[in-house]
Amino acid sequence: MIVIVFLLLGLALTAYLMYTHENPDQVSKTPDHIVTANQLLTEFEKDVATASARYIDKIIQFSGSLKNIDTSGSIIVGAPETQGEIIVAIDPRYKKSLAGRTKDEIVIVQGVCGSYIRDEASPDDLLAGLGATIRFRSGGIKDIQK
Amino acid sequence: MKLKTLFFITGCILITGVGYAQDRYFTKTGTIRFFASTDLENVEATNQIVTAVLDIKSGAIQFSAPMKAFEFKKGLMQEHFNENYVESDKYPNSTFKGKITNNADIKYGTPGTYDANVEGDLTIHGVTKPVSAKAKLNISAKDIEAGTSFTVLVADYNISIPSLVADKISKSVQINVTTRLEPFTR
Repeated sequence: MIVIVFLLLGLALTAYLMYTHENPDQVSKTPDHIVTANQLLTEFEKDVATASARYIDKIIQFSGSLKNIDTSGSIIVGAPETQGEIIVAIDPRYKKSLAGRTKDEIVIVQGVCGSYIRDEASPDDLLAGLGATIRFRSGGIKDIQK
Repeated sequence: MKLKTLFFITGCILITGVGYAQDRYFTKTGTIRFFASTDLENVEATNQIVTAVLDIKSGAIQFSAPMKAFEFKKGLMQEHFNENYVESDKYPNSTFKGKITNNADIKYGTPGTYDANVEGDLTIHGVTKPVSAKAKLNISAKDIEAGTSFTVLVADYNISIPSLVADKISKSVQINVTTRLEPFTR
């Protein structure tokens, strides 16, 4: 009887912990790949299928130049060599890492690579002509390059 | 004479290009929040990397939100949302394509706050449904802040909720959109 009660308590505790568990922190994990923003944008530009297989849904650490900072929770990173941009949704736990950051600073960012949008001119699709974009989620600024 | 013609054609191309660019305002870091109240607990999530474009000349407006970028507080809730409810691997983006129906009433050259009526097609989970909403445009000299709020029915988008919790989960979801659109110059 006591064993069953303990077993049920254990199950209930496990379920509770699983349910209330926060999203995993992707910024502090060991990245699957370490690259530069230019490398990432160039690889997608050259061959979307190969780059997607390599990077999509993987944890990527990359360095690049800060083009825009939205302190509510997103940044835009680019590379002077390429036209494209990397948009990063910042994990709320890392929002404080945006404080004090300025445009053109070289930052080291980590997050999950989500998708790539090609730059295509299309009269019917307003979104298609905005330039090549890689979207990251659950990201954060890990460091700045001095 | 030939040189004059060349200058004229080049000038026309440049003017057309600049005009086209200045008609469009955009963001790649717009925000969509959704909220659903339930008997169990409230479900809410935020997406901070929404792409949006507004063509002020025609009033055409488009949004795209990557589904996996909706951040929930609880990991398991986010996992269920992506895997069981909206099937984010199969349907990676939700999109809106529509227009401001009273675009002629909005004086884009005059800073101020304007009411806009937006109508269009919202696609979630591979299902497209017409929606209409009231939006606010706050126009300044350098950008346009656009925001709207509307409700969608979960069942309209073929999102099935397990029968065990169906009675406890709200059948409608409140969606709030906020964007700061900047002139598209290219």
